[in-house]
Amino acid sequence: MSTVATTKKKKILVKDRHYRVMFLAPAIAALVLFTIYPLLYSIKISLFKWNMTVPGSGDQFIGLGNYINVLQDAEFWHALWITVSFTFFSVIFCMIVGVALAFLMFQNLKGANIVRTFVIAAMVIAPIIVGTAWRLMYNPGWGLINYFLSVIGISGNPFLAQSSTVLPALIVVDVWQWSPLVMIIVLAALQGLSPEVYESAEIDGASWWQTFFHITLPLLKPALLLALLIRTMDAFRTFDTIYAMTGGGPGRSSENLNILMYNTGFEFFKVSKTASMAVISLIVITAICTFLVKLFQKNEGTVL
Amino acid sequence: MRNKKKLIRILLYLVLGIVFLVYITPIWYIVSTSFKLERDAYTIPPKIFFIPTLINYIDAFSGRGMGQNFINSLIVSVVSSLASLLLGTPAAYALSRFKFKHKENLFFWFLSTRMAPPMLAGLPVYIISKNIGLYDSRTLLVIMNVLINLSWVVWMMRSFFDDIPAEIDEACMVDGCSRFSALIRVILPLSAPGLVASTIFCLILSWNEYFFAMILTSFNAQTLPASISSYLTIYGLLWGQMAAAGTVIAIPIMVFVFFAQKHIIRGLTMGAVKS
Repeated sequence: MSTVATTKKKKILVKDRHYRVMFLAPAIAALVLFTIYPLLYSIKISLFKWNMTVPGSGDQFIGLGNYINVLQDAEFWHALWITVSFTFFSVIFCMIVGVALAFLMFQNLKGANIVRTFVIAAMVIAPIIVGTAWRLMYNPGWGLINYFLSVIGISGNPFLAQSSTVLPALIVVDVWQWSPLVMIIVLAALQGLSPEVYESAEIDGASWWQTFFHITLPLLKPALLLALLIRTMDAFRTFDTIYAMTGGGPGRSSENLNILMYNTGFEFFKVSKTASMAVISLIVITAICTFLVKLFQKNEGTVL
Repeated sequence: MRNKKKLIRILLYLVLGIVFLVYITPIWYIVSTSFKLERDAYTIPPKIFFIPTLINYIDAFSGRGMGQNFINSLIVSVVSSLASLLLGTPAAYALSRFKFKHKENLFFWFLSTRMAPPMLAGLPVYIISKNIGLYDSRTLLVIMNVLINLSWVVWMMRSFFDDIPAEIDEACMVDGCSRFSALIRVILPLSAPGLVASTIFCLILSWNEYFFAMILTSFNAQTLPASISSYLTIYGLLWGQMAAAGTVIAIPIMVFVFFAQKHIIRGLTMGAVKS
């Protein structure tokens, strides 16, 4: 009987090899066609001096010329700086606000469900609409934000139109939009914690803060790291909201890498330069994410 | 002690109220602007009570072709979601059940599409589609949305499959089922919540997708989100109509959030945090 079962199992394993190919092949084919091929194509055009407005420029091979060009370009470093600082502050504040929201929603307050629904809506509504709505609210003439500020006696500011305030103003929107993601992940982790841990902490006479920093936070670490990883990836590639609110302006003060690439490629048609920036940008974010994933695996081990 | 607890409770409710206001205001603002006449929209203080008008919707639908945009959005979202599920579900199952070399690398590759700068695919696809005549077609947008959704489907469905014990498949197969029929007849019904969650997620992602729709369409295949930029630039700032388009984009999403919130949350957390 047992030999029959093992031969059956062996047969299954042999067949599995076919199924493995059958199940994976379509998805992998699609990925190759739409990630590897464009990547190679991008790398290829990044080695030429192609500007779509200059006929024949697509044939001029310049090797790594574009990369050297881009790396010496102050605009590029500025955009990289904007991207990194936007990502850094947005992610930090998202984590803080998201964790606070998760704890708030964890308190069994009446009406918390309906509030949670609207909080979640923020990240599910199209980013381009979120950007548009906030652009309306930031309007210096009749926007809601300046109206509220004037009520409490602060004179109006064109937040999106001055270079000193535009980045914080955009970060506020990003935090509004994406803290809910952190909230959801942390809330799920909180609901998964066993109440016994808290009971024993209470018996030992730990204060709320002690419990929070020494018990809750360490237990939430995997969830926090995951939220951090997802948020970093997404914040780094923010385009829609910034494009809707400022388009990179005033001047270049909110021009992140994606906006710079869009402008270079689709406003000035410097295709090769855009491609080389895209490749560099991929390298940067891959490095950041690899670091975060390593950190994640060290602490968690299993997920991802 | 009791008083202190009560005070904390009151403070928490106050914070909850503020959070509610902070989150409902932008949504309310764009919806109310869409129903306002121009003279009601640009007032200080903002008018809370006004006579609602449909003029912005009528203008946007009749004059600016919003109906066509709506149909494009609908077709692209539905077709690309179905295609992503069809491609992604078997792959997720394979990643969950089979052991093979470089499995985690493959998985990371799927995820990397979420990490790469969109321009990396956008620029080549723009150039190629112009050359082969696919530019400004719904087919092209479906393909691009599948590319975005695929990693989500694989990520989410894999975690759902992981939660179903592998013994169930094996029991089926010992009873004479093939892998394929075990997947179709037993595993898929068991992971129905996962399928629903993934479908909803794909629909939302492709309904909202902006970047590719903007650079890869001009008129024929323009989706609703892509049409927003035409209110922003060419015709100056048509706030009322733009808000109307925004409301039309947001309404189906709000319906999802209200009636399928469990699936959205579950999808997000099941994919991320094992509960």
